[in-house]
Amino acid sequence: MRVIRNPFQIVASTPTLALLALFSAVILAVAACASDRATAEAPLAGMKVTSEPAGTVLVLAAASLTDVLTEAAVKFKTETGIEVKFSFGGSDSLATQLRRGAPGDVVIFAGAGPLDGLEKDGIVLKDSRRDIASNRLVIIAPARSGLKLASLGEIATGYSGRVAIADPRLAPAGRYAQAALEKAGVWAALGPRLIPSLDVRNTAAAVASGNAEFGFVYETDVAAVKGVDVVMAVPRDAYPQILYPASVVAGSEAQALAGRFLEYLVSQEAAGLFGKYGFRPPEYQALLK
Amino acid sequence: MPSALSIVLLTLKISAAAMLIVIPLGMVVAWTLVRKRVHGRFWIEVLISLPLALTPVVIGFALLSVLGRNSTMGRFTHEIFGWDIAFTWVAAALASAVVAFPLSVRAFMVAFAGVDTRAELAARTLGAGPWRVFFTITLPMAYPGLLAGALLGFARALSEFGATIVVAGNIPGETQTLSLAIFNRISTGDDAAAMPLIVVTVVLAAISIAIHNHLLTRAVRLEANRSQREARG
Repeated sequence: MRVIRNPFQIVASTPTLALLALFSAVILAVAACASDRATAEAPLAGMKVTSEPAGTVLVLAAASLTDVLTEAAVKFKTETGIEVKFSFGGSDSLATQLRRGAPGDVVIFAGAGPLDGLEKDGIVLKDSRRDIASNRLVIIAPARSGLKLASLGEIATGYSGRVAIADPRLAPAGRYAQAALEKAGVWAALGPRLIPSLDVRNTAAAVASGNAEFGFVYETDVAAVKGVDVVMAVPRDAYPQILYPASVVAGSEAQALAGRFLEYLVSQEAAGLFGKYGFRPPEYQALLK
Repeated sequence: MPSALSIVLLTLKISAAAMLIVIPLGMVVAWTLVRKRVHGRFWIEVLISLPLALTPVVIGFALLSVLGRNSTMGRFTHEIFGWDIAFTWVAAALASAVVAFPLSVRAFMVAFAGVDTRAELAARTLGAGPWRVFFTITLPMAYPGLLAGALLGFARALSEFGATIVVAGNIPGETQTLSLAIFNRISTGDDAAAMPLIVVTVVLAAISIAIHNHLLTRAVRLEANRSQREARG
């Protein structure tokens, strides 16, 4: 019977075997090289048993804080033995995930808005709220473009190129930029020249590539972006304070540990760390000193 | 920050787990749709294809609504077993499975449709039961197409991003796959650290597609040989 065929006859041709062997070899090599590390970092461990390891805190944090928080967590663990894990994302998106039942013990957002909403609905503990850092808004231009700005209004009166901002509906950075431009009275005039983008990183990319003449980004982003120069710091009275607030989640089963991590984040040591990454202390703290 | 190698390993683990769901379930669905008279088959096909058309973010939130602590199932696993499925690698595997499912099922359907039903019938008349026919006739004849479909799904699972970040989060060392790690590194301005991960992704994709193409040409050649022999009688 010609139709009954050994399945291995089909795969046993030399090229197929060679390809399959190559594929398995790559996977095995990767597995072998990574196994030491993998066991240390345990990505192979099974589902998270929430009650078991006495000392794990899951933090939902704004992606812009990745580097500073990762370093802070390492220091915190050596001091307290408490392990901190992060899930990084956009603040508004993280807030929605938490509402839909995502687990998490602490939230840290860029901007007060998303946390205000969670607080109002009782999803986070109001009393646990701490502002851990602040940021500033700056205007960037393509590197070596020689563009200069003396005031916000000059963007409208002295130049005619495109202006990149984060979309005010999608990202807090855009709302701060809008507030500043409205205060300067040029928001409406700039309307057709604006390039709204997903987030601050896209804004910076639009400027670095020369597609926009100016762009509004956070002060902490500038160091990470090549090909742009800061041409002006947006006057501090032109927009509300850009705060990074943190709270303990009401449904958390590790509230005590979560609270300790928040206390650590407002400590002197953590303040030094935030400073190292270009963040500023919340302004009222600066006033108290 | 986990090493590039441990991220690759985690991504392969999650994608492989996703395919453990997709391959058996997808074969059952594809075989049923091809070989059986099914009521409302059009709507079943639409339902299966939805993950192709919908933005994965919607799938992620749908899964989170089913698996999260606010859902019946999420509460059940949390209170009885102390498990949270949301924000674990298992959730990432489920997200990848849902998104890869339509691609694999489509290919499985083509593979099963290409099997000559006369051969299956002949085996039945010689006394073979339906399971025996499936494993000794249908499966061997559809094999290259099935494997190609599985690889296509696997490649899609490797690159899954939108549904994963919503239902599994972006936890380094636990749910942060290649795509999520690349996203995180680029969005924090660390393009240099993203580069090796992008290269690894390209290599993995190239290998999957090479095997996929090879199996497809092999399937076509087998088919040509068969019709030639049939023409000769």
